[in-house]
Amino acid sequence: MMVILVGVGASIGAMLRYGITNLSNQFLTDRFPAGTLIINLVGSLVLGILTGLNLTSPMLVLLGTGTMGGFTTFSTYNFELIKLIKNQKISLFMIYLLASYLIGGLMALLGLVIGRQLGA
Amino acid sequence: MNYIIVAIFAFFGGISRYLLGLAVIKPDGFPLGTLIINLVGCFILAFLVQYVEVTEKVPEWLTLGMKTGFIGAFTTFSTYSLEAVTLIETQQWWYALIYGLTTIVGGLLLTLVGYSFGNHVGDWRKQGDNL
Repeated sequence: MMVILVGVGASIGAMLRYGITNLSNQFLTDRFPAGTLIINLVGSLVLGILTGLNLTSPMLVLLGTGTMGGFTTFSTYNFELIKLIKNQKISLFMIYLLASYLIGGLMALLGLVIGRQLGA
Repeated sequence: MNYIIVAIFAFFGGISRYLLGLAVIKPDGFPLGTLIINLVGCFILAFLVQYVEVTEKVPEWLTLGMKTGFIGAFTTFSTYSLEAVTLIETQQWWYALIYGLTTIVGGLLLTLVGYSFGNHVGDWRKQGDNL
């Protein structure tokens, strides 16, 4: 049962990611992977909130493990990092690396705090 | 139609992540499952992209499904962020440091290795076809 919830959540998350990436390539810049950055930062915040809220197990599995897990991505992020290096965009590489990890961590922490407040 | 393909492949990518996460032992609370999932996913994604580019043989829908759908949903950034922050919050400094460094360096490294493997295997495949 949990397995199905994860799968359904991941499908929704991945479709959202696909849509946002397309929009970002169309309207933002295609020189910097802004889409994936936004996705990973927002996803870290939302997963933090969901975890802090102390949801029931099926809800957390559907929305957290499933949807946010499927929404955010690590493989594409690293692939984009390597692409920036190959194109010798070293400062963009550093910005993308630091912004993802540092702000991503802060977002998760902020989410946890917000979730705990809301859930209390 | 593309959205349906992404959704179907992501369904299985998410489930694979969930099951593998359950199967991997977390030694002393260290998030080994996510680490393995993310590093393996980096290798496979880079391999696929390069293999497809060299051989020019894989249909577009399959590439989209595997890359954006399956591997995209298999790996995760949000869980990593949350686990790293939780290690810091519970003052497991060494684990936090090791988890952070292996994820950052390992992700880049395995992407490069996957890239290079994809290139070679793609080349062999192409040469084999031309014989």
